[in-house]
Amino acid sequence: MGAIGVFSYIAARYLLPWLFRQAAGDRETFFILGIAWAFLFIFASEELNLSIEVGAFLAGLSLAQVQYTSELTERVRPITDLFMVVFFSSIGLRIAADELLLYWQEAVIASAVLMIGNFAIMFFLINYEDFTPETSFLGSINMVQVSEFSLVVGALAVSQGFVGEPILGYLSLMAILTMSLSTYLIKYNHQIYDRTKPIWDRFDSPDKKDVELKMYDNHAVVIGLDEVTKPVLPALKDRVGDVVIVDRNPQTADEFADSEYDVIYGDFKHSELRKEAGLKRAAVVLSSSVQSEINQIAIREANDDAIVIVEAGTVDQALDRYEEGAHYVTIPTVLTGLKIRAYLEEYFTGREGFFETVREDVKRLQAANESGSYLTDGGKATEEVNTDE
Amino acid sequence: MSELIAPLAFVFIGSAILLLLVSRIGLPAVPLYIVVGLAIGEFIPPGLTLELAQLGIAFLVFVFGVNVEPERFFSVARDSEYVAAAQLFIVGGATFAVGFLLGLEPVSAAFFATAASLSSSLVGRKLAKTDIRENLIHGRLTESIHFVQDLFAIGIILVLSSAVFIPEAATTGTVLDGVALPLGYGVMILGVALAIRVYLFDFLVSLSGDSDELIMLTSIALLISFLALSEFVGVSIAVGAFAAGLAITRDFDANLSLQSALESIETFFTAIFFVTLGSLVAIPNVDVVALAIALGVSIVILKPVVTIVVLIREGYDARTACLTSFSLDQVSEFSLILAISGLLAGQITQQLFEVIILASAVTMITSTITYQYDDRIYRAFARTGVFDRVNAPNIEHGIETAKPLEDHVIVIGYGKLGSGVTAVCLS
Repeated sequence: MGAIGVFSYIAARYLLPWLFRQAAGDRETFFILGIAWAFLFIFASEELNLSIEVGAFLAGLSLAQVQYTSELTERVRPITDLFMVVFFSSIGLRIAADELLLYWQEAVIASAVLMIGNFAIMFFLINYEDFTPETSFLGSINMVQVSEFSLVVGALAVSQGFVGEPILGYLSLMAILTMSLSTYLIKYNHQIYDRTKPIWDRFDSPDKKDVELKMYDNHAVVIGLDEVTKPVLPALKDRVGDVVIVDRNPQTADEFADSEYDVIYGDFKHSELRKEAGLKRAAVVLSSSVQSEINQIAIREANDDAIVIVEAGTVDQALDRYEEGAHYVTIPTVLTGLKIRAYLEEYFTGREGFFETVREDVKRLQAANESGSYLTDGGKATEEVNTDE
Repeated sequence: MSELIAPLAFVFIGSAILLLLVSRIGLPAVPLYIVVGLAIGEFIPPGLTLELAQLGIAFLVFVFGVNVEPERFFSVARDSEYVAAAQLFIVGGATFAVGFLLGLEPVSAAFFATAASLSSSLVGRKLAKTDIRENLIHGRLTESIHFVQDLFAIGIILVLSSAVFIPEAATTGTVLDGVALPLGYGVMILGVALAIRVYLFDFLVSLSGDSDELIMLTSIALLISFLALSEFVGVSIAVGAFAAGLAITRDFDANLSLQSALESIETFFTAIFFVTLGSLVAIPNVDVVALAIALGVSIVILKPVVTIVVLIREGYDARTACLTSFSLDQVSEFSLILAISGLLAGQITQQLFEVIILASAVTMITSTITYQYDDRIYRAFARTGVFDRVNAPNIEHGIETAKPLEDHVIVIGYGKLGSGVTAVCLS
C-alpha cells in the first residue's frame, strides 16, 4: 500500500499534469482518462490483495493535485451519484428489518451520545482556535451526523467476517437517525443560534475573530476567452477589480497561471463551477459563448444589479437574449460587417480618410502583436477603439 | 462486484491509452473502443461482458431518447425523411439480396442489410461537429438524416427483437403472434412515456426543487422503471430505454445539469459498450472476412452513391450531396445493438455477428478518413465530369442573366458579413 501511495504522490507531481494537458482538449478523452486512473489503482490494489477502497482513495488524492480537478469532479459526479444509490440500496437490501431494529435502543443512545459529543468536541476545538462563537457554533452543528464512510467500513467488515449483519443494521440505523435529524439542524442552524445566543456569548472575548476566506464579490465573470473578450480584460480589471475567467480551453489556464486574472478550467454548464466563480455576486458578466443555454443560464443566475453582456450567433438568438434580460448582445460577425460597411462608405466618399483609418488599425495590430496580447498595454488598445468611433 | 473490476479496469485503461495516443489525429472514439475490445478480448470473460453490454445499450438508447424532442420532429425531419427512407430501402434492399446470394438465411440477411443501411450518429455527429455548429447545409442535412435513421432504427429494433423474448411463440405458434403482441406492448410503453412527458415530468422536476442530484436520480429511476416494465411484458430493453428517454423533456430550467450529467453517463457507457463489443470478436476466419468486405463495400461505396443521387434529385447541389454522404458512410451503433440482441436471442450466428462488428470498426475509421478529405474527394470526382450534367444548368443560368462585367465588386460568401457589404456596394 505504501508503494501505491508513493507512486500516487510521484504521479501527481510529474505524470498527471502532463497527461491531463494532453487530454484536456477533448472532453471524452479527459473523462475516460480520469476513470482509467481510478481503475488503475483499484485494479492494482485488488491484484495485490489490498483494500480497493483505499486504492481508489489514493487515486482520487493524486487527481486532486491537478489543476483540472474541479472540472473532473463535476464530470464524474453523475457516475458517483449513480453508484452511490446502488451502494447504499445494496446495504439496505442486505439488512432484514429485524436486523435493523435488533439493537435499536443501543442505536438511539449511541446517536444521542454521538450528536452531543461531536458537537461539544468540535465546538471546543474551533473555539480553541479563537474563532467567534457564531462560527464555532455553526461549524460544529453542521457535523453531528455519522459519515457515509462508516457504512463503507461496516460493509467491508461484514464481508471480511469481522462483524455480523446486525452490527451493519445498527450502523445503518444510526446513519438514518443522525443524518435525518442533522438535516433539520443544518437547515435551521442560524435560527437555533439566535435563540440560544446567550449561552454561546459566554465564550466570546475581544481577541476572537474569523479569518475571512477569499470570496469573490462585485467582481467580473468572463465566460470563454477569445479575441472578443481578451481586449476587455484590462478595462474590467481597472474598473471592477477581481476578474474570474471560466474557460474550457486548457491552454487558457496555462497562459494566465501567473497573471492577475483568476482562471477556472471547466464547463460553465456545471453548477459547482458557477458557484466557484461567484456568478450570483458578480457585478459584470461577460460571455463569449454563442451557446444559447450557457448564455441563458448566465442571464438567469446573474444578480439583478449586474450588467450582463453575451454573444449570439444569429440575429434571432440575439433578440431572444435581449428578451430574457441581457443588457447587451453582441454578434461579432454583424459588427465586423457593419465596420467594413462603414470603411467602404469612407472609401467611396473620400479615399484619404479610409487609408488613414486602416493605418491606425494596422498600428494597433502591430502593437498587439509586439506585446504578445492586448493584455499588457493596460487597456490602451480598448480605449483607442472607443475614441475612434 | 469484484469480478467486474478487472474487466472494467482493462476497458478504461486500454481506452485511455489509445485515446491519448490518437488525440492529435481527431479520430472519433467509437472505432477506437472497438479496437481496444479486439485487443483485450482474452482478458474479459464472455458471460460477464454480455451483461455489461446490455447495460451499455440501455443507457445509450436512453440518452438518445432524452435528446429526441417530438415537438421538433417535423421541422427537423422535413429536410431528410425522404433521403433517409430512400437510402434505407435502396441500400438495405440491395444488401439484403447480396447477403441472400452469399447464403445467409432471410432473418440473418435482414440483420446484414440493416447494418449496411443505417449510419452512426455518434460517429457522424462527432465528425460533422463544426459543420453542424456553423449551420452549414450539409451539416444540417447530416444531423437530420442521422436523426431520422435513428428513429427508424428504434422501429426496426422493436420489430426485429419482438420475437426475441417469446421464442416459443415464434417457433410453435404463428410468427405473427410472436411479433404482434410485443409490438403492441412496445407501442403501449411508448404511450405511457409520452403521457409521463406531458403530464407528470414537470411535477417530478418541481418536487426535486433545485437539486441537480435529485433530477438526475429521478431520470435514472424512470429509466429503471421502464426497463423493468419492458422486461416484464417481454419487449426489448432498448425499447424501454428509449421510452424512458422520451418521458423526460429537456424543457425546464435546470436542464443544463441534467444534460451534463447524461453526457458523463453516456461517455462512461459508450466506452463499456463498444469495448465489450470488440472483445466478443475472435480472430476472424476467411468467411467472416469475405462477408465483412461485402458489407464494407456496400457501406463505403453503395451508400454514398445512393445518398448523392437521392440528394441531387431532391435539388441539392453536387458538393452538398457529396459532403453529406461522406459523414454517413459507416455502420450505426444501433445496428450493433441490434446485432448483439440478435446474437443473444440466437437469431444470428456468431459468424454474422463478427462480420457486423468487424465491418463497423473498419467503416467507422474509413468514414473519418473520407470525411477529412471530403473536399478533395469531391473535386477529384468533379474533375472526372460525373457531376457536369447536374451542375451545368446552374452555371449556364448564372452566365445568361449577367451582362459582361466590368468595374464590379466580387463578394465571396453571402453570410452576415457579405450581405452587409453587398448592401453598401449596391447603394
